[in-house]
Amino acid sequence: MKKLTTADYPLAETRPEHVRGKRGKLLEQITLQAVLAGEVDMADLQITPQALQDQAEIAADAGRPTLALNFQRAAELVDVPQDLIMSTYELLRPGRARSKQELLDRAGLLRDHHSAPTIADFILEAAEIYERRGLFTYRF
Amino acid sequence: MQCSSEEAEELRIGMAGFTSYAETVSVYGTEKSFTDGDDTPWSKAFLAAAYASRGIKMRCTSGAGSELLMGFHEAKTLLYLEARCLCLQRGMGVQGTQNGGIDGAPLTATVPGGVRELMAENLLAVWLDLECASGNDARSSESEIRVGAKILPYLIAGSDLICSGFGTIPAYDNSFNPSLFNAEEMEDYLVLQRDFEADGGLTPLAEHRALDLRARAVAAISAVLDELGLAQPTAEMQASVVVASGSAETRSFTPGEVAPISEAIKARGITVIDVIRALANRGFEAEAENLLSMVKLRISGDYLQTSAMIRNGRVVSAINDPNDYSGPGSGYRMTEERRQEINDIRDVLDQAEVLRVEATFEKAEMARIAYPGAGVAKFGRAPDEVVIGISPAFGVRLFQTTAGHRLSDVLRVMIGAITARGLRARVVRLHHTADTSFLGLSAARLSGSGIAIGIQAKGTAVIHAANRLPHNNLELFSNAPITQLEHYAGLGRNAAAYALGEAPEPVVVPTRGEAMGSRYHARVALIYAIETGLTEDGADPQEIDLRFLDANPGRQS
Repeated sequence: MKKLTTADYPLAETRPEHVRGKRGKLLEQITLQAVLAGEVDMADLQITPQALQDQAEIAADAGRPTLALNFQRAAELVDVPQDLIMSTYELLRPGRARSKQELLDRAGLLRDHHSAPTIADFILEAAEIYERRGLFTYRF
Repeated sequence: MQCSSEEAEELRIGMAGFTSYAETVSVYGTEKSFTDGDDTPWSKAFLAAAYASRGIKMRCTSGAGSELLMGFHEAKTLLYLEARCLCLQRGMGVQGTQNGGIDGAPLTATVPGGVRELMAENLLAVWLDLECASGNDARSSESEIRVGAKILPYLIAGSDLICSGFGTIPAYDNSFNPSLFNAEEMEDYLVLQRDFEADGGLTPLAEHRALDLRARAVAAISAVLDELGLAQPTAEMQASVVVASGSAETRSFTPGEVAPISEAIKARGITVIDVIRALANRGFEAEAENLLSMVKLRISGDYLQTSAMIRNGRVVSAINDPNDYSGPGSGYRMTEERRQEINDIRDVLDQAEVLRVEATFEKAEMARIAYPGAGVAKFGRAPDEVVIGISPAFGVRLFQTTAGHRLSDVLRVMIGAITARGLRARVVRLHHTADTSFLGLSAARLSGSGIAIGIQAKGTAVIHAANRLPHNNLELFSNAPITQLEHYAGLGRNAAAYALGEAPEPVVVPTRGEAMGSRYHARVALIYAIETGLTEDGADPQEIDLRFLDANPGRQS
């Protein structure tokens, strides 16, 4: 499929038929009436990996490759449970992981069980740097 | 928007749908500062991806002085450290920044070139293609002149956001540091927008509209708290919040009462969908629709792109509205419609307003004095008369001087002083001019003694002699806003003295320039336009059979 460009932006206006929440609902189906009828839950209001990949293509076309990379990392995190995201963030803070292995284990978990290879590589990169900079030290 | 909670807490709030924009994710320019702030570039970059994965827009914050305040500056310059922060933000893939000396601004402003450095930070952010909230939030100085000087370049050059968010709370309610502009400076800021044609993001609002909105907002929030069984704000609480300027005037929940509410929201897993339902169930459908449209933004992710904001329900960002500045005359231009919105400040003075205020004095003044016309004014023959020439609107449309003295009192004291010297005062109304000098000279030519006083309704007065050139008067009261009744009495006394051939000491109205204050200029221009609007070329002066109607003519107050 042809890559998206800045001309396709904003997606909600140019391609509303492709913009869906996580349970597949279209924007036009998410109305106040639907909310009141109990037909909408938080999952319907969640962004999808596809939408983030689309925004990444647009950002890259706009000359913002690092923003695009962030959207790609985000795409992998969409289906990662909230608690795991919180604990991974916590683990990446200085001194939380007491050894490089803890980060390597977390990278493995995300790669093998959550289809998040880019995130896993990102954590491996952090592990190398943290080791070099002595960040696996006791802080509190 | 969620500002500066603990990062993990902030992410949790965002995931429940309560925020669409996470700001103030701090980064620092040295490793030690970073770890002291309990993060690393990798933990922050992970956070950035986590926010995006929930469809939440995010920006970082940095700014000169933070490393200095935290004690780990590595003896590097402020701008160098900020350049590191900004490059890191770009590298992390964050769409934008709030910078330009945030909490470190007051410190940065104490060093040579510090204020220039703050601007340079914003410029670096723009060069790196980041959304830039220019950080005019922290008050870098307690000097009003320096505050004004700091904002000027932004008013002229513009910025994505001149302030990261206008401080709509009074300075004392800001738990960080007062903003450059707080609630106290709201009117000034609105006028600055108008004066510089700068879009600072605020739109002037009539007071009744602001009150309606506040009342509705307080009612909506109260309804949600009640509907969700979280709390029941009393009517007294609600009323106090609607009209309060700041927290000191509110009678609301105490911090101790708020904590269990927050705990319940977390424990019960209440989300934005519950809030939308609660709003709609209690009749706040428009608010429910608004909130829903805001959380729907996260589905497409359009709002995640650089500099995205919502205007009239649509996402506008650096993708579909890029920065096209290429020199003077290019870049963001306000639409005529927006310009009119910004121009529409409160308390505008116009001729109708001046006339409205004057009319409130009319009835009482008409009970004190009457100005019946008695035909075309004659040339006087009697050497013992002093003529007082009044202006076209004097006592007709305008009833008090700019110092606030009733025109009846002014005439009374002048006439009293003239008659006290055994002379006669004759009043004429000039219709061909409203100029003080010509009022005086025209009246002097009608005066048997050749001496006259000319006076405008605003209180500017002159003593003129018939044989003098225009403007070459004998005495002039040009400072009407500070001219008191005793001075007008002195003017009458001296006019009589000139008529008697004496050379009196001119009356001096002590001045320190107050009357030339800018506050008077627009009012005076409008008042004078009312006077000139009643003039007619070549119209004859009119004899006035002046009558004081007051039962007690000695009373002056």
